[in-house]
Amino acid sequence: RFCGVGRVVSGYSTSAGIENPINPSIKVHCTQLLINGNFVDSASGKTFPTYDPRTGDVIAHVAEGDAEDIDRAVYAARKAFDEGPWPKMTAYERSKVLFRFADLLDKHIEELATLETWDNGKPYEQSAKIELPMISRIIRYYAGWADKIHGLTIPADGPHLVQTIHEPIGVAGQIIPWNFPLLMFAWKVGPALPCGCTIVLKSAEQTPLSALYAAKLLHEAGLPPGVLNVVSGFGPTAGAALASHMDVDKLAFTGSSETGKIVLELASKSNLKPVTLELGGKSPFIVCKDADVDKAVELAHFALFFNQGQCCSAGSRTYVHEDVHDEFIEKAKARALKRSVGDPFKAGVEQGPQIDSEQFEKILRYIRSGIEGGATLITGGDRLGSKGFYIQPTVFTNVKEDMLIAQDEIFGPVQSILKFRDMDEVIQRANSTRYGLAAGVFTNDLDTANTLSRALKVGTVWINCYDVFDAAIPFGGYKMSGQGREKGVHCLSNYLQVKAIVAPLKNPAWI
Amino acid sequence: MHVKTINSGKNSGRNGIGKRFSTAAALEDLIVPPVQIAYTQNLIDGKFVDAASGKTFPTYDPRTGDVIANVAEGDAEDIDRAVAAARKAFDEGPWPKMTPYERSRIMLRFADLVEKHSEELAALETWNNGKPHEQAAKSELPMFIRLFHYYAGWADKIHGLTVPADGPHHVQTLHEPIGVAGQIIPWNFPLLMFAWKVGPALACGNTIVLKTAEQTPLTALYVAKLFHEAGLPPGVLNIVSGYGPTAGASLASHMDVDKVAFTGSTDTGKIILELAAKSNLKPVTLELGGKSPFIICEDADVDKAVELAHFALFFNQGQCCCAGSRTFVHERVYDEFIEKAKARALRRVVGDPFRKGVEQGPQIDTEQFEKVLRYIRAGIESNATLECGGDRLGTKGYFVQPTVFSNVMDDMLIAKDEIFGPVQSILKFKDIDEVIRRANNTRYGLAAGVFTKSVETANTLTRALRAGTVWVNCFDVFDAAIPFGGYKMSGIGREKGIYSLHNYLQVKAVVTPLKNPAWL
Repeated sequence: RFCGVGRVVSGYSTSAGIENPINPSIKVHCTQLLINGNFVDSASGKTFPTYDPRTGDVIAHVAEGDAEDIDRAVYAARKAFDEGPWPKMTAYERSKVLFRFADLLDKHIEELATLETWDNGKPYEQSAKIELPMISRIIRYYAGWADKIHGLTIPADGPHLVQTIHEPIGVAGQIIPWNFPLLMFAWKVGPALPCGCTIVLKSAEQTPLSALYAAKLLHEAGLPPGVLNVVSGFGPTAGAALASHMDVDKLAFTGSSETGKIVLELASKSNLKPVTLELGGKSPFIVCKDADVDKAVELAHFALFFNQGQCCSAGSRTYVHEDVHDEFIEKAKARALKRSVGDPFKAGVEQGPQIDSEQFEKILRYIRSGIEGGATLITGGDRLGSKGFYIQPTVFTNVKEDMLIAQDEIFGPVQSILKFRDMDEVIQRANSTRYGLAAGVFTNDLDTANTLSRALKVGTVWINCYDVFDAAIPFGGYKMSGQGREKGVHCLSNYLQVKAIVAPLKNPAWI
Repeated sequence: MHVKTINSGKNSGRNGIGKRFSTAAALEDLIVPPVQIAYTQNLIDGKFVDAASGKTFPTYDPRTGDVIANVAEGDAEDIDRAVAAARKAFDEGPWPKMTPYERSRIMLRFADLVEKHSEELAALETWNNGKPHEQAAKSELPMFIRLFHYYAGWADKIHGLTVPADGPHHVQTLHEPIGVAGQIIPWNFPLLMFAWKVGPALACGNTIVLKTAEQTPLTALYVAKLFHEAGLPPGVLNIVSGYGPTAGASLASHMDVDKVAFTGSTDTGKIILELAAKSNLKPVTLELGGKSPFIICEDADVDKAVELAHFALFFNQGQCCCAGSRTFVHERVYDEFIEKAKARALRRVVGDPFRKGVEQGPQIDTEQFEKVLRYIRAGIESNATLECGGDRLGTKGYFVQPTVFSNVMDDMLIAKDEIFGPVQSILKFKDIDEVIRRANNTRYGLAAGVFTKSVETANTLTRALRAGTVWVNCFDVFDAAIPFGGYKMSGIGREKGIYSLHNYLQVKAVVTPLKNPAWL
């Protein structure tokens, strides 16, 4: 099944634990669909297995939703929207439900973080200490927006009183990916609920577990039935039914650009529901000649390898100025070799397994293509251990723009290092992609930072930092990396309709 | 040009009512438009050029069906050339790199030039579109100029935000132009739709390829010429005349176009969005069809309500996406309303749009004309009561009698489809919950009119109606600052006002650590 490319298989500091995985300390409770406030089996009665990426073993069988379940969920969401109480409640009441939800998330951090790591393979310390706190923080951020959604009064040319009200758009369909199951849940559910929308959310088939658990907590926090419905299932069945549903008023999708195109097409062929897309990327990380190389190496390493390289914003083209290039690659190689890969439940582990066998094999194919394309493999290049989906931290140098590994989103622990000479050249090369999600810039020179942050055609520029994801910072793509922005004030408009109200002023006052 | 009609051009009317319109005179004795046609080629990279294929297509006078001029017919190759020019003007500048103040000055100079040429422009608009000349000259041209003053003022007021971070980070957003904008405009308000599209895109620093409607290619070419006289650099605004399936489709699916804005029918809007999805995922703004309710409550002053409902439907020959095409009347005032609405329609002055005092000219073309007459037949066949009108007017051109149906039911075709003609459908209602439900029971959600003296009724209806604009005791108020756009299948996004700027901007977040934090 798998044919290793293994030219360089050598001393990773940790591969311990891979052959003897730690047994997660929790039980899986929520595996059914959550529709209208109740956990129910799928209409067909079918289930699908969800796997432990450390072993490929089945964790649980989960109800498999398809078009009929989406229909039921949309019906519940429609009713909850049209008849209330959710959109008719005061904004303050909605915010209180969300604040209570955030408190419950904090209370259940251990179970949620365990479930997330078990189903996804990401390091437990990352789940528990970074992602879960970010999730409750994001929910509190949005809870605070609920009672601050203002319309405008508008200066008219004549004697008219003009105002806008910003209304909830209706039933939102939301499709989330497997790389940050709970965070993506928070990014999607967070803004839709304070605006007063109701939701049908489809989780990724690789990671259905934590969304069901979190949705259960949201109901404990006082969410009325039907406001948030969660359907587990596959894209071509459940996802497509949601995207093309005539009673869904809005669709938000995070995933690949190819699937994003299909989602948009289904929306256009059905009822023209507005679509927000967060898609792929091939983000440049630019190390300028004035950079402190040690710090640059560490940040570029983090930008690419974080979350097993499974980030849409991964800094997957590391551009290094020729003056520091040779030193950089030596140190980047050493850093990759020091990366501790192993059972994500073990303390100190930085990298767990990839999500599933499909992604695992895709990454290995890209590594082979890098070698065949003439890039220099300086470390890694193969699987790690004999079970599960672990891959060695891999670094390529001498990468050229026309190689597949410099063009496609690999979504794995594979760093591609490219050399550059001057600023205009790196701007042109960094922008020569259909993607435009994010970029990193490493320099201490103010003029260089200002020029690069303006010149790069991307939705986020991180200067001397990377993957800073505060709730208030908008995130989204230029070009084929997406449409619209999530997080921050910008995301609210995704879930609002603007209504203009105009009336004559019969007896004008002084203004 | 022979046009098939219901009653072969005679004014007899199948129900014996299609007579007595106050004016049909003037129809046989047309005024010669006081304007010459100077521009018929495509405008690409600052130059008027023939179509790559050398082909032309005729554009018509809707009063007669006669050819006004032959216009260069753009297709995929011309769109390619125009996009290449717009791409170069965007990527290399100077337009997006100029100061916003310089951009605003060019837009203001352009508005001045349009004002200077208002007479020719209004004449050209009426000649090509058939709308009353007084409407074009006194209402639409001033609105056009006002829109460019409005957007010129935005150019130097596009701010990003600084964003409060949780930790020691300095965070800001930049609102950047999105790039090359493809814009496709309709034939019902050729100049105004030009202003709605071009105004915000240019203020934000974008470059443009604009495709006009094949029915009305003339005025856009004229004003685009004026724009270049005002100092617009070449390649910033390119105009391609042509048809939807050729020029329009290649613009919507072009890989080098970063944004598409379309105004037109819902069916075509779906195709545009699909082409954008299949190509490069360019964001799309859509302003589409409507079946807007106009609700007359029981407390209404009937005379005023009749006049406003009449205007809401018949304005611009009924060719408005936001036309108040479902007139809901409370049962207590229903009978009086019908009588007066009929009388008002019979008084409507239909005739040569160049004549003073004419309220209604011809429909745009034979296709729309016949479609309107088909809907009238469908209304009669489904047993709505034809109160007046119902036929063509005169023997040439595309004039249709102001037509009023009463006893219209929600399930009739004339109450569901967008007719886009001078056909008023009057429906009776009993209470407010019922009319809310019926008014919202449509796939459309563009606009609504509410006629009442009660604050509470007005408040309830403005909240309850699922529509992008609610006009209370007024209709078709279109200030530059008022956002316009649809709920549901009436569109995506808003034009005009502050909201329209987002259509032409990308948001970039810039994040950097604060190494030595100051006090804040």
